[in-house]
Amino acid sequence: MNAPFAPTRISPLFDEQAPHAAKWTQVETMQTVASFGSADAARLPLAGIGDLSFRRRAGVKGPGAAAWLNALGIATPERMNSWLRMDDGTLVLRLGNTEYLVEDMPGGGRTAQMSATAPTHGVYPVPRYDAALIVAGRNALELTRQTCAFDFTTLSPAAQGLAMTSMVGVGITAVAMESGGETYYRLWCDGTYGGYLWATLVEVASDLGGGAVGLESLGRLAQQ
Amino acid sequence: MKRLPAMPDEWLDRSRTVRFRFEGRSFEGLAGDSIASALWAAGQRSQGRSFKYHRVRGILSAANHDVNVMMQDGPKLNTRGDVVAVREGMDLTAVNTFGGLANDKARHLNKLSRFLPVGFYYKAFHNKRLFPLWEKMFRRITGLGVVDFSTPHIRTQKRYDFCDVLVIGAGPSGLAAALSAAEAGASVVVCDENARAGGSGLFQLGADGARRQHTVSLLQQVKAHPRIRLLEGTYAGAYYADRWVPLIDENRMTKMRAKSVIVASGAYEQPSVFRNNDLPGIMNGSAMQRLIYRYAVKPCNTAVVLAANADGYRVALDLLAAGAAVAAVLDMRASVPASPLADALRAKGVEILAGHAVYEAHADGKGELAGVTACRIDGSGRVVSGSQRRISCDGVAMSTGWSPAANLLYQAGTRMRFDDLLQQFVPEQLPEGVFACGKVNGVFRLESRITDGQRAGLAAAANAGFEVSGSITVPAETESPSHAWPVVAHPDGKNFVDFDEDLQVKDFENAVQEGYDNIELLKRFSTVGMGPSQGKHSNMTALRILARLTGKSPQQVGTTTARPFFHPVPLSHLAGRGFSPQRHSPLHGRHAALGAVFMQAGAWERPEYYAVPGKSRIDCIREEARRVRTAVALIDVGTLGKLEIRGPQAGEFLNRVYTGRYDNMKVGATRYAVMCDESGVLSDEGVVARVADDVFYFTTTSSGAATVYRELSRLNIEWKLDCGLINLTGSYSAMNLAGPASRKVLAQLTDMDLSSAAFPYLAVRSGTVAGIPARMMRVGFVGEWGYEIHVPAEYGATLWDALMKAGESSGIGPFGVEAQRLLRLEKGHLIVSQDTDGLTNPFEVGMDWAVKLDKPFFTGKRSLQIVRKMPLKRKLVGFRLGENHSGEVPKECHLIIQDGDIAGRVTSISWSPHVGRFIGLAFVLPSMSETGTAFQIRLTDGSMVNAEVCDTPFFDPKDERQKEIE
Repeated sequence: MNAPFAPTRISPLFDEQAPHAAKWTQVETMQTVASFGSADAARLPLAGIGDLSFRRRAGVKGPGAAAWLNALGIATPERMNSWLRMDDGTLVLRLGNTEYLVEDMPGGGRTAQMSATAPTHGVYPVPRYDAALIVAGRNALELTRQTCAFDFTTLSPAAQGLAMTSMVGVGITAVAMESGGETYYRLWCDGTYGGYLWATLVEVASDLGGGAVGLESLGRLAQQ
Repeated sequence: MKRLPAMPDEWLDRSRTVRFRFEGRSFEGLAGDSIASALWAAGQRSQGRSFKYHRVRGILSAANHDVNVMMQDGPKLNTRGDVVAVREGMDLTAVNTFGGLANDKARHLNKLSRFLPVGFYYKAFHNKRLFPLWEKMFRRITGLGVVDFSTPHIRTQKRYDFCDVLVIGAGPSGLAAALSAAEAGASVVVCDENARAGGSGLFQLGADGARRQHTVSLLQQVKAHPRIRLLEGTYAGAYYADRWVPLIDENRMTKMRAKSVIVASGAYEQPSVFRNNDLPGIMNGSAMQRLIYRYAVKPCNTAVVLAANADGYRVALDLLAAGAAVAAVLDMRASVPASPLADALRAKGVEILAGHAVYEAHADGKGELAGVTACRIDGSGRVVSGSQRRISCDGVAMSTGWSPAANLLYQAGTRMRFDDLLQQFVPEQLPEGVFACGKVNGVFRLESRITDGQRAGLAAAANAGFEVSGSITVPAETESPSHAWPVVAHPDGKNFVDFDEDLQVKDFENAVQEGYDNIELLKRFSTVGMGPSQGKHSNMTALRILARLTGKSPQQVGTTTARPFFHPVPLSHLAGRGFSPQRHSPLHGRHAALGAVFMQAGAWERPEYYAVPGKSRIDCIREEARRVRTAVALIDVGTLGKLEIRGPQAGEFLNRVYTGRYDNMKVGATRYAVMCDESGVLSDEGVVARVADDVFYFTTTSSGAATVYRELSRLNIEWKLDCGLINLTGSYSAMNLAGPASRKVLAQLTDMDLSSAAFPYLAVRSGTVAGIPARMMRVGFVGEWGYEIHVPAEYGATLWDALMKAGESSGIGPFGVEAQRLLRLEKGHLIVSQDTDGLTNPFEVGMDWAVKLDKPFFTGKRSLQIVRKMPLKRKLVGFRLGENHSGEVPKECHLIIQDGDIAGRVTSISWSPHVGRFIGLAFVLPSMSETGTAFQIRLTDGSMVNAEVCDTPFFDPKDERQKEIE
C-alpha cells in the first residue's frame, strides 16, 4: 500500500519552538513559525533570532564537485571558505577546499536539480538537513561575542568570507550579509544540535532585548 | 586623620555621604571612598586581624593586596576593604576574628607564636593519632569569611572580545603605549584594575602639581581617541597561549584575544622588614599617596619615612603638602644622592638620616602605631649597636623598593633576569607578540616610562601588522628603585615578611636550616606567597632572604612558578553562563509527548523508557520488551553513527578499517562490522550495507560516531583511495520497527515487497515509506523480525507518526534504551564499551568469525595476529543466576570470585521474562568458560551470589524469529 498522506517536512527547531509559537505557516512544505507573538517586531531591531530551516539545501563534496556543480549551471566561489549569491538568489557556500553547500531561494530549484542528477566520478553528494538560523539586529555582534570565540567582525558582507567555528559548543557555519545597511548573520548547524543552539541564542538574545522572531516579522530578511 | 580639601584627581563625590556600619559601629564616608579610606578618614585605623597570630592590622598597600583588611559584606565574603568602594547601608565585619575585631578571642595566639614555628601544619599532621584532633582544630580556626549557603544564584555573562593591541595597565607607560599603537592604526584596548585610570602618574607627585600633567594629558588623549577603548575597574587575570587574556570586571569575565599584548602593569611596592612592621599606621609610601590623592585623606599627623629611593622623598613631600609633619626621613642607603627632592625636604626642615632604618615600631594601648626606634645600619644592613633612637609618630611610610608586577609576563613564558643595578627582575626575552613597558620593564623615571610606553606601543602595532617607522631609545636608569636588603634583624622577631601568612624572618631561617633551601621548597614549607595576595608583597623579600642565607644571588635563587589566575576571581565569574550542548534526535518531541524519561548518552538525550502512570520503571521497561516480543514496537535509533562511503575503492576502504571483508558483498546485503585500533582492541561495531556497487552505507555506535568519522577521514586522506566519506549522522533519522507484527504495520505504508524472499534477513532495500524516501535494513539486534528505517531527518517525525498510526491496531508502542538492552541481552548481543573495555580484543568476546586475518591489511591486524597465538586471558560468557534467586541482584561491574581471587566481572545483567531468570554477560577466566561452570559473584556488601555459565543466545538461539512466519 502506498503512502496515505503527503509527507511534511519538520524543522529541526520544531520541538524548541512549538511551546512558544503563536502562529504557524507552511513554507516549502515545512511547518514554520510565522509569529512568536506581538513582541517579534520589537525584538528584531535589537537581537532577533529567526528560523530559515525551511529553505531547501543540498551539499556535494569531492575533487569533482566544483566541475559537477558548474555543469549544472551552479556557480562556485573561487576562494575557499567564501560564498556567493547567484543571480537567481541561490546561495553557494564553499566549505574548505572541495565541499559546497547550496541553498535555494524559496521556490528555487537548484537543489532539486542536484538531487536528480547522478554524481560523476569524484563527486559525493552530502544531504543537508541543517538547522538554519538568522541573527539580526544591532546587538547581533554582541550576541556572537557572548556565544562564540570567533571574531564576527572579520566576516564582512562585502568580503563574503565564511567561518566554520563553534558557537555555544555547537559546530556552525557562519556568514555575514547585509540588508539596508545593517549587517546580519546566517548560521547553519547539524539539525540535531539545532534545538540547543536555538534555545541558547534566544536566551542570550533576550538579555540583549531580543529573542525569537517569526517569519512574518523577518519579512525581507527571510526572502534574501 | 582627617578629610583633606579637594584633590585635583580625587575619586570622591563630595556631594554624597555614604553611611555604613563596621563591626557594629556606624560610620560615614563619601561616595567614591574605599571602605578602608572611609574608615581611616573616620579615625578607624584597626581594620582587621592577621591570619595566624590575629594581630591588629590596618592599611598596607591600598592597592588590592591588603588581605588583612578583608571584610564580610553580607553574603559576600573576603571583600577587599582597601579597594572596594563603600556603599550606602553596608554592614561590614572583619573576617578571621572570634568575637569581633576589638575583642578577638584568638588574639592570644600572638603570645603563643613561639609554639607555632614554620612548618607547624606539617609537623602537627605527622602524628597519625593526633591527626583528627589537629584537623578539627585547623578547620575551625582557619579559613577567611563565612559562606552563606542561601546566597542567591547570580548568573554572570561571559563574553569574548578582540583587539589589535591589548595594554594591561593604564599608568603613564600604558597610556603612552596605547596612544602610540593607536596612532599607528591599531585598535587598542587599555584595561586597568583601578576604578580610574592614570596609575601612579596621578599620585606619586612629590607635591609637584606639574608632574601629574603628563598623565592627565595622556589620559585625555586616550579617552578621546577613536581607536582606543579604556576599561577601568577591569583587571587582566591571566595570560593564556595565543594572547588570550581574561579581563575581569565587576560583572563578568571577558576573554580578550589580541594580536599584541603590552604588559604595563607596574610594580608592587614592598614592605620593609623590621620588628612590628605590621602595626596600623605603618604602610607603604604609595599607600599614603593613594590615600592623599585618591581619597583626600591625611594618612597620619606625624610621619617617619623609611626610604631607599626617590619615591620615598616624594612621599615625604606629599605628606607635608597634606599637612602632616615628617619627623624624619630614614634612608637605608649609605649616602643620600643629591637631588631637588632632598633639597626641598631639607628646605622644609625635615631631618634626613642616611644609613638609617627603623629598628622597631611601638604600639599604643590599642595596638596601633605610636612611635618607632630608629637605628643606624652598616653596609651589610646590620644594626649599629647603641645607635637606637626613639621617635614619636603615628605613621610610617615604607618606600624601600618595588617588585615588578610580572605575573602575566611569567605566565606568557617570558625569560626574566635579575638586574643588579635595579635590584629587580626584568624581561630578558619576551615571547612573540608580548611587550613590556614601564616599571615592570625596569623603567622608573616618569619621563622614561612614557618614552618606554611609546616604544612598546609602536613595537606592538608593528607586530599586529601596522606600518611603523623610526625607533625610540629609552634612557637607562641611574638610580636603583629598590634596596638590596630592606630587612632589619631583631632578636624578638615579629618582623614580618609575609602579612598573609604571618611569616617572620626567623621562619625563613628555620626553614632553610631544616633543609628547605630552594625557592619552591621554601614556598611550600613556609607557605610564603600562598595566601590571598599570592606573595605580591612578600615573594621578593623572601627571595632576598633565601639568597642571603644560601649565599646565592637572586638570579640563582630564581622565582616560583606564576600560575593563572594571579588575582582571585569570583567563582560566579568563572562559572558564568555554561554551555553544554545537548543533541536531540528529530523524534525528541515525540518521545517527550509519549512520557519518555530521558537519559544522557554522550551528547544525546535518549528515552530510557516511557513512563506509564501507575507503573514502576521496571514494569514499564518489561512491558515495552513484552510488546516487542509479542506484537510490535518502535525505537528511535537515530543516535547511531551513520556514514556513507562512495567511490570505486569504497569496498577496499572498508576492508582496511574493519576486521571483516566488504568488497565481496552483494548490492542489497548488510554485514556486521567490527573495528579495532592498532593494538587490536575492539573499538567500535556496526552494520555495513552495500546500497550500490560503489556506495556503502554503514552505522557506528552512538558514542563512537564522531570519533570514528574523524579517524576514517584521517585515514582516507592518508591512504588516498578513490572514495569519499560522508557523515550522515545528523542528516538521517532512524527507527527500528520490531516485533512479529512489524511487517504487517510497515506493509500499510509502502509498496515494497516485504516478503522474506524479496527482503530477507540482513538485506538492505531502498524505497518509500509513507511517501518518504527510505533505506531499510532487516536486522535483528533485539531478536525479532524488524526493520531499521533510515530517512532524511526532516521527515523523521512524520514517519514516526505514520508508523505509530499504522500500528495502532497491532498494539504498537514505543520502547526505550533499557528495554532494548534487555532484548539484546536475551539474544546475547554485546554492547561495545559496556561489555567490552579498553583492552578487549575480538577473540575474547567470541568474534573470531568477524576477524578475517587472511586479508592483506586492516587496522589492528598485526596486533591480532600476535594476540591470536597467545592464550586468552579472559572470555565473555553468558551466565544466569539460580532459578529461584531471591535477595540482592548483582550489578554491572560486580566481581566474579574464584578461590578467593578475582576471576572476572559482570558486564551486563537483567531479569529476563523469557528465560525466567536473571541473565547476564561476564568476563571470566577461560578455564571457567565451559557451559555449566558454577561461580560466585561478590556483591558490594561482600556477600556472594551463585551463578553458572550458560550458552547464548538466551532467546531464540536458531534465529527462528527471522524466518518466514506467515
